[in-house]
Amino acid sequence: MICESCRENLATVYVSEVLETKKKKVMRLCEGCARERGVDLPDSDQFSVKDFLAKAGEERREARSEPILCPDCGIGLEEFRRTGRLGCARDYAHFRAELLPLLDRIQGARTHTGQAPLRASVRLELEGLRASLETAVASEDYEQAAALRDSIEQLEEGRP
Amino acid sequence: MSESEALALEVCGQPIGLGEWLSGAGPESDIVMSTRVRLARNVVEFPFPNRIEGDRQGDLEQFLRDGIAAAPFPDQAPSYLDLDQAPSLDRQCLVERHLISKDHASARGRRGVAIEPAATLSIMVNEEDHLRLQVLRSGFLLDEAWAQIEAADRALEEKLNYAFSPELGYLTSCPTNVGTGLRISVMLHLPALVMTKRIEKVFHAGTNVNLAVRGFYGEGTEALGDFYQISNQVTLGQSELGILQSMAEQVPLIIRYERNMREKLITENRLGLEDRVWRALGLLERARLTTSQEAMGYLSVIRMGIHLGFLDSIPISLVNELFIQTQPGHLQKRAGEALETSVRDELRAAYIRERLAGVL
Ligand SMILES: [Zn+2]
Ligand SMILES: [Zn+2]
Repeated sequence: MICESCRENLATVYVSEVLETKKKKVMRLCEGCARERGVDLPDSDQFSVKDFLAKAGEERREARSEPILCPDCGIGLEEFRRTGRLGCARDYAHFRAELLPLLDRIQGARTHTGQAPLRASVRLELEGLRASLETAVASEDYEQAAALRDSIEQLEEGRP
Repeated sequence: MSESEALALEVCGQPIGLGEWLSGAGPESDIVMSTRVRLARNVVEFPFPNRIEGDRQGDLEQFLRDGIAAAPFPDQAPSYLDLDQAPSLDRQCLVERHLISKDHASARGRRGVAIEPAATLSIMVNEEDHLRLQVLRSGFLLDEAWAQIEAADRALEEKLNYAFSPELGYLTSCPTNVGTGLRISVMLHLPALVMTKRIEKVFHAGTNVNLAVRGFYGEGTEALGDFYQISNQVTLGQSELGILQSMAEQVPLIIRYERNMREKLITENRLGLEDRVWRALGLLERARLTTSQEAMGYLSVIRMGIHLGFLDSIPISLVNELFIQTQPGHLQKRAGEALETSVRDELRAAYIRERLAGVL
């Protein structure tokens, strides 16, 4: 069986593709073409989504604007397109607009529904509470602010 | 050479366990070679490994090493191997034992792997993600493998701040792993489905539920040892338990299909099947030059022969070990030097003859 994408190599991987219409289609691919579509094959050389990104960039031909660089790791959209790799965890927020269509394509979803790490959950809850506290203080709602301070203290001390 | 000597693997002075998955003792191990579960994890304090250079790479490695050393693992703690210092042959052996990836072996710079004594759990450090946890078990053992990796993940999380967003889940260097970061792969041995030319149907079964099926091929279109790997394609939008569930539903269908075809082959042409098994054994018992591909092919037939009850003096664990011990890295590691292909073929043939003579 020959690869349905490059029509050159032996097809050794069967994957389903999510089409624009949300329908699925079975593709017979060689390892290289499977990797280019973002299929992560355990044990194989690094796969890449860069071709997908390169194509997406061409299609969009967005207006020439300032290159946006991640303030934390310094990676830009160009480099992400070229390598298919993000530079740091915050890039998911920085390059959100670019990432969401990519996630639709390779994951068929945009939202995590699995487990959360306990420490990160506490950290995120704290961040949320601190933001609410700022709002409460700004609007001079001191009763609410006091309650929020208590919650924050409890959480910081590891109490339920 | 004693058996334990033959199986010993030492990397940077540390003995590496052979790996429980080679015992062939797990559930459904007549058809399922191994179950592997992997989690991709990163910490918030550092950029992803591809954005780290120079001294920072060493800092990150040390940071993660400290985290692993301090984590309260429920079982025996893994010990750390510095891959930057390990000889290339040692790294190749770790790849052949499925403890590290090819990329991790061939990469440069500060990186390593922590391996638990029984070699069921390994944690790659500074691979594509900061941490890649892996549990590899014999047979079809989804729940146990998941429980083991989840416990290790929780232990690490007590010491490390994982990069996580409530919307997108665990954040990974490549968007193909974001979400659960979970990749499950089950290695299946399907000789009867290959012989009866029904393997195509297996491919289609998997793809209906977001599973990718991969075959292994040598030169040309010849299947390599009739092994097929089935793994989940998606990591986002499905929970860990959902991913486990679709594996738990699909894999038994393939197992049943392979068993039916084995029965059909026996009913219709038992003599032909026995002939095939005994010929494979005869070749390996006598051959003087055996290529990697030949070894895979004949061992695959023998593996099936054992499970069909044709060959009862050969333990399945020996066949599984031979799959690993006859690979180039292990052959050269035993010889203590790099060898030409032709020399490897000679040593491979000799090694298989010797190990088979011990049981026949
Ligand atoms: Zn192709
Ligand atoms: Zn960044």
